[in-house]
Amino acid sequence: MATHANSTSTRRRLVAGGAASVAITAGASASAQRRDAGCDAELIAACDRFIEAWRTDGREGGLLDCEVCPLWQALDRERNAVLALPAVTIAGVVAKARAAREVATLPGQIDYSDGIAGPFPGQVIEDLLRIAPGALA
Amino acid sequence: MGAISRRAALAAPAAVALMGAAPGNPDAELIRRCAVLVEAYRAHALHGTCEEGCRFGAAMEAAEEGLVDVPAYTFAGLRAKALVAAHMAQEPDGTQNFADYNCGGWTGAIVRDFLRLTHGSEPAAI
Repeated sequence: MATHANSTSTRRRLVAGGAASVAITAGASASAQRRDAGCDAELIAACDRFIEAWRTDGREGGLLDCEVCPLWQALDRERNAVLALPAVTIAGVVAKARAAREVATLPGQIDYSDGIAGPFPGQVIEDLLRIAPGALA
Repeated sequence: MGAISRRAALAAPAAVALMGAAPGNPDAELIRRCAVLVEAYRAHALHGTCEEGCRFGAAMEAAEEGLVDVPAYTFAGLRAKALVAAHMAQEPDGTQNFADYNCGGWTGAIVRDFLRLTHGSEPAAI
Protein backbone atom coordinates (compact mmCIF):
# COMPACT_ATOMS: atom_id res chain seq x y z
CA MET A 1 0.00 0.00 0.00
CA ALA A 2 1.39 3.38 -0.94
CA THR A 3 2.37 5.54 1.98
CA HIS A 4 1.64 9.23 1.84
CA ALA A 5 1.14 9.71 5.53
CA ASN A 6 2.02 13.39 5.70
CA SER A 7 -0.13 14.61 2.85
CA THR A 8 -3.03 12.35 3.69
CA SER A 9 -2.91 13.40 7.32
CA THR A 10 -3.35 17.04 6.36
CA ARG A 11 -6.21 16.24 4.06
CA ARG A 12 -7.87 13.93 6.51
CA ARG A 13 -7.65 16.45 9.28
CA LEU A 14 -9.77 18.75 7.17
CA VAL A 15 -12.25 15.99 6.48
CA ALA A 16 -12.53 14.46 9.91
CA GLY A 17 -11.19 17.04 12.30
CA GLY A 18 -8.59 14.49 13.17
CA ALA A 19 -4.84 14.37 13.37
CA ALA A 20 -2.05 11.94 12.70
CA SER A 21 -2.15 9.61 15.59
CA VAL A 22 0.57 8.92 18.08
CA ALA A 23 0.22 5.82 20.12
CA ILE A 24 -0.57 6.72 23.70
CA THR A 25 -0.77 4.73 26.85
CA ALA A 26 -4.40 3.92 27.24
CA GLY A 27 -4.29 3.08 30.92
CA ALA A 28 -5.81 -0.17 31.97
CA SER A 29 -6.83 -2.80 29.47
CA ALA A 30 -9.90 -2.55 27.34
CA SER A 31 -11.30 -5.58 29.06
CA ALA A 32 -11.32 -3.64 32.33
CA GLN A 33 -13.59 -1.08 30.72
CA ARG A 34 -16.13 -3.73 29.91
CA ARG A 35 -16.80 -4.38 33.57
CA ASP A 36 -20.26 -3.17 34.39
CA ALA A 37 -20.51 -1.72 30.93
CA GLY A 38 -24.02 -3.07 30.49
CA CYS A 39 -25.78 -1.67 27.49
CA ASP A 40 -22.78 0.37 26.39
CA ALA A 41 -21.01 -2.77 25.24
CA GLU A 42 -21.65 -1.88 21.60
CA LEU A 43 -20.29 1.64 22.09
CA ILE A 44 -17.23 0.40 23.95
CA ALA A 45 -16.50 -2.12 21.22
CA ALA A 46 -16.95 0.58 18.59
CA CYS A 47 -14.51 2.84 20.45
CA ASP A 48 -11.96 0.03 20.61
CA ARG A 49 -12.32 -0.56 16.88
CA PHE A 50 -12.10 3.16 16.14
CA ILE A 51 -8.89 3.57 18.15
CA GLU A 52 -7.38 0.57 16.43
CA ALA A 53 -8.39 1.90 13.00
CA TRP A 54 -7.02 5.33 13.91
CA ARG A 55 -3.67 3.90 14.94
CA THR A 56 -3.48 1.67 11.88
CA ASP A 57 -4.21 4.60 9.59
CA GLY A 58 -1.67 6.77 11.35
CA ARG A 59 0.96 4.06 11.21
CA GLU A 60 0.46 2.89 7.65
CA GLY A 61 -0.62 6.10 6.01
CA GLY A 62 -2.94 4.60 3.46
CA LEU A 63 -3.76 5.92 0.04
CA LEU A 64 -3.76 9.58 -0.87
CA ASP A 65 -7.30 9.39 -2.18
CA CYS A 66 -9.45 8.88 0.90
CA GLU A 67 -12.45 7.73 -1.06
CA VAL A 68 -10.73 4.58 -2.27
CA CYS A 69 -8.51 3.97 0.75
CA PRO A 70 -9.66 0.94 2.77
CA LEU A 71 -7.91 2.22 5.91
CA TRP A 72 -9.71 5.52 5.66
CA GLN A 73 -13.01 3.83 4.94
CA ALA A 74 -12.61 1.64 8.02
CA LEU A 75 -11.69 4.67 10.11
CA ASP A 76 -14.64 6.66 8.84
CA ARG A 77 -17.02 3.76 9.45
CA GLU A 78 -15.88 3.26 13.04
CA ARG A 79 -15.85 6.97 13.74
CA ASN A 80 -19.46 7.28 12.58
CA ALA A 81 -20.39 4.24 14.67
CA VAL A 82 -18.94 5.83 17.81
CA LEU A 83 -20.56 9.20 17.23
CA ALA A 84 -23.94 7.60 16.57
CA LEU A 85 -24.04 5.90 19.97
CA PRO A 86 -24.79 8.00 23.06
CA ALA A 87 -23.23 6.60 26.22
CA VAL A 88 -25.56 5.61 29.01
CA THR A 89 -22.98 4.41 31.53
CA ILE A 90 -19.78 5.88 32.91
CA ALA A 91 -17.92 3.02 31.24
CA GLY A 92 -19.33 4.15 27.91
CA VAL A 93 -18.29 7.75 28.53
CA VAL A 94 -14.79 6.58 29.45
CA ALA A 95 -14.58 4.72 26.15
CA LYS A 96 -15.68 7.78 24.22
CA ALA A 97 -13.31 10.02 26.16
CA ARG A 98 -10.45 7.69 25.29
CA ALA A 99 -11.43 7.99 21.63
CA ALA A 100 -11.41 11.77 22.06
CA ARG A 101 -7.95 11.65 23.58
CA GLU A 102 -6.73 9.47 20.73
CA VAL A 103 -7.72 11.94 18.02
CA ALA A 104 -6.53 14.88 20.15
CA THR A 105 -3.06 13.48 20.61
CA LEU A 106 -0.44 15.25 18.54
CA PRO A 107 3.33 14.99 18.78
CA GLY A 108 4.20 16.53 22.13
CA GLN A 109 0.72 17.71 23.06
CA ILE A 110 -2.94 16.84 23.39
CA ASP A 111 -5.23 19.34 21.70
CA TYR A 112 -8.97 19.00 22.27
CA SER A 113 -9.92 21.94 20.06
CA ASP A 114 -12.67 21.06 17.61
CA GLY A 115 -10.34 21.49 14.64
CA ILE A 116 -8.34 18.53 15.93
CA ALA A 117 -10.64 16.44 18.09
CA GLY A 118 -13.85 17.09 16.16
CA PRO A 119 -17.14 16.39 17.95
CA PHE A 120 -15.75 13.84 20.44
CA PRO A 121 -15.16 16.16 23.44
CA GLY A 122 -18.57 17.77 23.05
CA GLN A 123 -20.22 14.37 22.96
CA VAL A 124 -18.43 13.38 26.15
CA ILE A 125 -20.00 16.35 27.91
CA GLU A 126 -23.44 15.66 26.46
CA ASP A 127 -23.20 12.06 27.60
CA LEU A 128 -22.08 13.05 31.09
CA LEU A 129 -25.02 15.38 31.49
CA ARG A 130 -27.47 12.83 30.14
CA ILE A 131 -26.44 10.18 32.63
CA ALA A 132 -28.34 10.14 35.89
CA PRO A 133 -27.12 12.77 38.36
CA GLY A 134 -26.36 10.12 40.94
CA ALA A 135 -23.67 8.70 38.74
CA LEU A 136 -21.73 11.92 39.01
CA ALA A 137 -22.59 13.07 42.48
CA MET B 1 -31.94 5.40 38.11
CA GLY B 2 -33.76 7.78 35.84
CA ALA B 3 -31.97 9.79 33.23
CA ILE B 4 -31.97 13.56 33.32
CA SER B 5 -32.50 15.33 30.06
CA ARG B 6 -30.11 18.00 28.92
CA ARG B 7 -32.95 20.46 28.67
CA ALA B 8 -34.02 19.70 32.21
CA ALA B 9 -30.49 20.13 33.46
CA LEU B 10 -30.20 23.49 31.74
CA ALA B 11 -33.57 24.66 32.96
CA ALA B 12 -32.79 23.79 36.53
CA PRO B 13 -31.65 26.54 38.86
CA ALA B 14 -28.03 26.98 39.69
CA ALA B 15 -28.68 24.93 42.79
CA VAL B 16 -28.35 21.91 40.53
CA ALA B 17 -24.72 22.82 40.06
CA LEU B 18 -24.32 22.91 43.80
CA MET B 19 -25.70 19.41 44.33
CA GLY B 20 -23.01 17.20 45.73
CA ALA B 21 -21.01 20.10 47.14
CA ALA B 22 -20.88 18.52 50.57
CA PRO B 23 -18.95 20.24 53.31
CA GLY B 24 -15.30 19.45 52.93
CA ASN B 25 -15.68 18.65 49.25
CA PRO B 26 -12.36 19.66 47.69
CA ASP B 27 -14.31 21.05 44.75
CA ALA B 28 -16.60 23.22 46.88
CA GLU B 29 -15.05 26.46 45.65
CA LEU B 30 -15.03 25.26 42.04
CA ILE B 31 -18.69 24.28 42.31
CA ARG B 32 -19.60 27.60 43.88
CA ARG B 33 -17.80 29.54 41.17
CA CYS B 34 -19.42 27.46 38.41
CA ALA B 35 -22.84 28.21 39.90
CA VAL B 36 -22.02 31.93 39.93
CA LEU B 37 -20.95 31.74 36.30
CA VAL B 38 -24.11 29.91 35.27
CA GLU B 39 -26.18 32.59 36.99
CA ALA B 40 -24.17 35.26 35.22
CA TYR B 41 -24.91 33.55 31.92
CA ARG B 42 -28.61 33.46 32.69
CA ALA B 43 -28.65 37.11 33.69
CA HIS B 44 -26.79 38.04 30.53
CA ALA B 45 -29.16 35.99 28.38
CA LEU B 46 -32.21 37.60 30.00
CA HIS B 47 -30.70 41.00 29.51
CA GLY B 48 -30.35 40.33 25.80
CA THR B 49 -28.03 41.97 23.34
CA CYS B 50 -25.97 44.69 24.88
CA GLU B 51 -23.14 46.98 24.03
CA GLU B 52 -19.58 46.23 24.93
CA GLY B 53 -18.85 46.91 28.55
CA CYS B 54 -22.34 46.24 29.92
CA ARG B 55 -22.38 45.07 33.50
CA PHE B 56 -23.91 41.70 32.64
CA GLY B 57 -21.13 40.93 30.23
CA ALA B 58 -18.55 42.18 32.68
CA ALA B 59 -19.99 40.01 35.45
CA MET B 60 -19.82 37.01 33.16
CA GLU B 61 -16.22 37.64 32.27
CA ALA B 62 -15.27 38.17 35.90
CA ALA B 63 -16.97 34.95 36.94
CA GLU B 64 -15.22 33.00 34.22
CA GLU B 65 -11.75 34.37 34.89
CA GLY B 66 -9.36 31.43 35.26
CA LEU B 67 -12.17 29.01 36.11
CA VAL B 68 -11.57 26.62 33.23
CA ASP B 69 -8.09 25.91 34.54
CA VAL B 70 -9.32 24.89 37.98
CA PRO B 71 -9.18 21.07 37.96
CA ALA B 72 -12.10 19.02 39.23
CA TYR B 73 -11.19 16.42 41.82
CA THR B 74 -14.69 14.99 42.28
CA PHE B 75 -17.57 14.10 40.01
CA ALA B 76 -19.61 16.86 41.58
CA GLY B 77 -16.96 19.32 40.47
CA LEU B 78 -16.84 17.74 37.03
CA ARG B 79 -20.60 18.04 36.66
CA ALA B 80 -20.47 21.70 37.66
CA LYS B 81 -17.95 22.34 34.89
CA ALA B 82 -20.02 20.31 32.42
CA LEU B 83 -23.07 22.45 33.20
CA VAL B 84 -21.06 25.58 32.51
CA ALA B 85 -19.97 24.16 29.15
CA ALA B 86 -23.57 23.23 28.35
CA HIS B 87 -24.63 26.83 28.92
CA MET B 88 -21.79 28.12 26.80
CA ALA B 89 -22.81 25.72 24.04
CA GLN B 90 -26.40 26.94 23.98
CA GLU B 91 -27.37 28.42 20.62
CA PRO B 92 -30.26 30.87 20.14
CA ASP B 93 -32.30 28.20 18.36
CA GLY B 94 -32.12 25.89 21.38
CA THR B 95 -29.51 23.54 20.01
CA GLN B 96 -26.11 23.04 21.56
CA ASN B 97 -22.78 23.48 19.83
CA PHE B 98 -19.63 22.65 21.75
CA ALA B 99 -17.36 24.20 19.14
CA ASP B 100 -14.42 26.28 20.30
CA TYR B 101 -16.11 29.55 19.42
CA ASN B 102 -18.71 28.80 22.08
CA CYS B 103 -16.83 26.80 24.67
CA GLY B 104 -13.19 27.73 24.27
CA GLY B 105 -11.03 25.38 26.28
CA TRP B 106 -13.85 24.05 28.46
CA THR B 107 -14.52 20.88 26.47
CA GLY B 108 -10.89 19.81 26.60
CA ALA B 109 -10.57 20.67 30.27
CA ILE B 110 -13.60 18.53 31.11
CA VAL B 111 -12.37 15.55 29.11
CA ARG B 112 -8.99 15.82 30.86
CA ASP B 113 -10.64 16.00 34.27
CA PHE B 114 -12.90 13.07 33.45
CA LEU B 115 -10.07 10.85 32.23
CA ARG B 116 -8.01 11.71 35.29
CA LEU B 117 -10.92 10.96 37.63
CA THR B 118 -11.59 7.62 35.95
CA HIS B 119 -7.92 6.77 35.46
CA GLY B 120 -8.67 6.52 31.77
CA SER B 121 -10.44 3.23 32.01
CA GLU B 122 -11.50 2.23 35.47
CA PRO B 123 -15.27 2.69 35.68
CA ALA B 124 -15.58 -0.07 38.26
CA ALA B 125 -13.66 2.08 40.73
CA ILE B 126 -16.22 4.89 40.61
